Amino acid sequence: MPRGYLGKILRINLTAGKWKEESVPEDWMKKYLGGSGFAARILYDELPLGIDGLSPENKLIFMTGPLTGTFFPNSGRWAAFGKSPLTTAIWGEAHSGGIWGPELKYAGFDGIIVEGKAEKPVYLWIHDGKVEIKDAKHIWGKDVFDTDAIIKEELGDETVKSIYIGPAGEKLVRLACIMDNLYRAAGRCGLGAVMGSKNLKAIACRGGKDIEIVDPEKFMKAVDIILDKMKDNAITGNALPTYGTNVLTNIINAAGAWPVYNFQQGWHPEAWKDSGEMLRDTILVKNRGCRFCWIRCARYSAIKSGPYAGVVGEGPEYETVWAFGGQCGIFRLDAIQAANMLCNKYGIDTISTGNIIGWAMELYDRGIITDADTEGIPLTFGNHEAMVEFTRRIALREGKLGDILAEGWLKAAEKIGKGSERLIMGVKGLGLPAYEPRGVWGHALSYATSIRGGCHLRAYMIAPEILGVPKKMDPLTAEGKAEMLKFFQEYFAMIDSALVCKFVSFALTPDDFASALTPLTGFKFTGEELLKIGERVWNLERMIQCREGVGRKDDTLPDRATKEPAPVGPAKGKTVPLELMLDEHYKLRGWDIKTGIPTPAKLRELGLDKEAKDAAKLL
Amino acid sequence: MPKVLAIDNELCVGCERCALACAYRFFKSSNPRRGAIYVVKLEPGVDTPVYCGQCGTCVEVCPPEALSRDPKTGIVKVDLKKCDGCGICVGVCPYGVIHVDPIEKKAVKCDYCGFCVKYCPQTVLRLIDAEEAALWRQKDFAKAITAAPELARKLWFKPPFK
Amino acid sequence: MWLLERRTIYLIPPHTLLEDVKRIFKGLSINIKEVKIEKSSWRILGAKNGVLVKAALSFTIKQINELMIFGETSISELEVYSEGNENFNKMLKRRIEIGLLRAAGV
Repeated sequence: MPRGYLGKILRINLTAGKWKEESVPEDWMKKYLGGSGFAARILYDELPLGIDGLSPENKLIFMTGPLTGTFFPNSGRWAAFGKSPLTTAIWGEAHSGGIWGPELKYAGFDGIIVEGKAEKPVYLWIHDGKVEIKDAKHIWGKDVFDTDAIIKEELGDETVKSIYIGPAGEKLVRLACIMDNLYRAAGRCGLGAVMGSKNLKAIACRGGKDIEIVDPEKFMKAVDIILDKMKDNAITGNALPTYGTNVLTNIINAAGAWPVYNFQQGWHPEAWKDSGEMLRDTILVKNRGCRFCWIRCARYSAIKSGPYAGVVGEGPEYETVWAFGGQCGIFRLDAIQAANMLCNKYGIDTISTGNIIGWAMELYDRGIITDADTEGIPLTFGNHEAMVEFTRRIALREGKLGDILAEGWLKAAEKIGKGSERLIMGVKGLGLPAYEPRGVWGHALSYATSIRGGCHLRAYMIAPEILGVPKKMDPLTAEGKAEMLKFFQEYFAMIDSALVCKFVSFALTPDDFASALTPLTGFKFTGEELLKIGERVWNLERMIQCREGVGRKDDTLPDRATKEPAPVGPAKGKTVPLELMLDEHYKLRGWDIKTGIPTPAKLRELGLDKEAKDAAKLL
Repeated sequence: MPKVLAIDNELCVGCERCALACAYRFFKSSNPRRGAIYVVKLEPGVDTPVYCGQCGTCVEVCPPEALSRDPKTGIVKVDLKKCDGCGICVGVCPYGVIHVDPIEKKAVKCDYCGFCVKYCPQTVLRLIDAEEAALWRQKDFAKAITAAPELARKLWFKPPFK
Repeated sequence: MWLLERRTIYLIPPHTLLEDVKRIFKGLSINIKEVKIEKSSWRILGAKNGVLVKAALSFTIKQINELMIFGETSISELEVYSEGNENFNKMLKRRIEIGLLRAAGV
């Protein structure tokens, strides 16, 4: 009897126009927990090797976890998975807040596996265990805001909750994302383009089903303690609701880790103009939260004057502020929020778009691309009008350069040539987010070893290195980083499988998760066992990429991080000693040091016997 | 003075934890649809909970007389033995704040139990004396008929750290 | 007693860390013999099969230069000592890492 889970996954084949309900094996719940764990299991078993990410053979998976939709704090999330059409990492993963995740469970399913490609644009309507494939001809081409309104009107219900792609996903822009409730995104890895390549415009859900709890009283008691812990915490109870994620801009800049001008330096005297404090003093209207959130870190802003007057909506977040701010040399929040709104409207990842525009700005600065390529627009650092214009062009594949950049960094560098590849600030083809690797070495190691590519969310080493949680570490040493990174990667992989918002982990430890998951599911979890699940999921994700040739040679950092000394700030004169941290990390993980592939012994220890045999063939 | 439920809806972020708590209190359920408080989210930026104000319109029309007003507190309650889930109250409620639970087939409405109050992360909900509640309700009504949300500015009230 | 672990922890309230360490001891069946809480410190003494384990934390409340936005916050110094053998200490060290693991991802 499934508990916490609905116990059902919807498998739908858009080519055949047929769907069926599959049971979730109880074995999976104990070994992989849910979310990322289930997706890794499915992709390892079913993803054909060597395919194009935009081909109908790709599998697009939507998944929740046992904690999703329950009274546990911040349980209103969901995630998408599939082979990424943007990166060389194979594994594509993106999580989103918003309101849809719990509704999928209330509608009767823990997850969805989308296969094939519909002949014409369609959307899915899932309600109380029933699935309909509906014609989407009248919404194909519409932006995210209109799509949401049209679906609600057509289905005659304002309480329908949908996820959708915008024009960017439809046009197979490789930076495209999947949106939830207008402003939330499963942003990275180009999964919006995968959805577009299947002619799937949206998935609408509504449901009255319940999530069973084995011991409701014990569960509520555990959750009561957890809610108090989060209120009592300086970050989850105060800094985040007051200033939002953008509270980080001043902190990270002071630490010399705020990347400016395409990561040329990690500090800027005008960063304060983009800070959370500035946001609160000027454009902030109120804070907001995802469904069932206990932290409420989202912002709701209104631009009332200047060239961007009239822009109203959620945001901007720290990463978005950095991507359109420091990365592009822009120190004004109104332009940043305008670019953010365009990304929401067209369905494109803000981090990737800002990063790639900053890259293009450096190329323009060095004469590698010229006015002929930009069609007369001076694409210089600091030119906020150019930044906003190119956000639009990339999202809609407009203009020669817009179309080239819409292909992502690696393919764009192939077209542009002239050494542009060396200036890409990304790992495995995924542009780096808002932390300068030279300023925080543990976090740099996280970038290099994150499965989906240059990502900060698979192990947030900023927490120990700058915020002093769970212990203060010196950002500019290699000592102890590989070990701490391993703990973080496993903790986060577990949270991504239980599927709630990571921010709870500023206040909660794995033992807190165990205290809630045990009365919810009936399985007796401990903090140690949950971390083991995290380790298993992490290794399974790694095998998905290793079996297609990814390994140590891809666990890299851009040359700027390892070869160019930082010019200013606390890290001045330093570069990241990646190789020695990688050696230590592979050793701790039980992976082959030369190739970075998990050893058969390690995989067998984790109960991944089939994968152990596959690893033996690779080594 | 009887205690009543009142809200400061400018603080609401639309997280629906109140509805989730209420569903738990009524049915030990994890689906917010089963609760007696309804969170409305509208663009641009409108979030607010809506719940029964004990106006009593439903009492008049209930065929089996399952709805009645408690003389001491003024709160309208559902007699579960008499209710047959006919749904006439749903059609008559001016605020849309009563519904028939699809599983139990009984009417569900707010009775000011206050279980939701401590589960609101933004202190929107409060169980207070009727006199104080009146002041909040005057404000609610004024806001409902005047300023649009993007002109109002209500920041999370915790002040910056000292 | 061997000094097994020493760490500085920002922001997390000292009383939360006390509950964490109590849970760490319980998880390894270390019987808690004494808990002493003072104005800016606490310590726990525990024993398992005659082997003593001690955790001591002292804290100050002040503004951290790089983290001005938090105003005055706690800076805790935690030390854990153990009389155990290599195996026991290895288990304890891992339990400490997991029991105090806090993270996020912004």
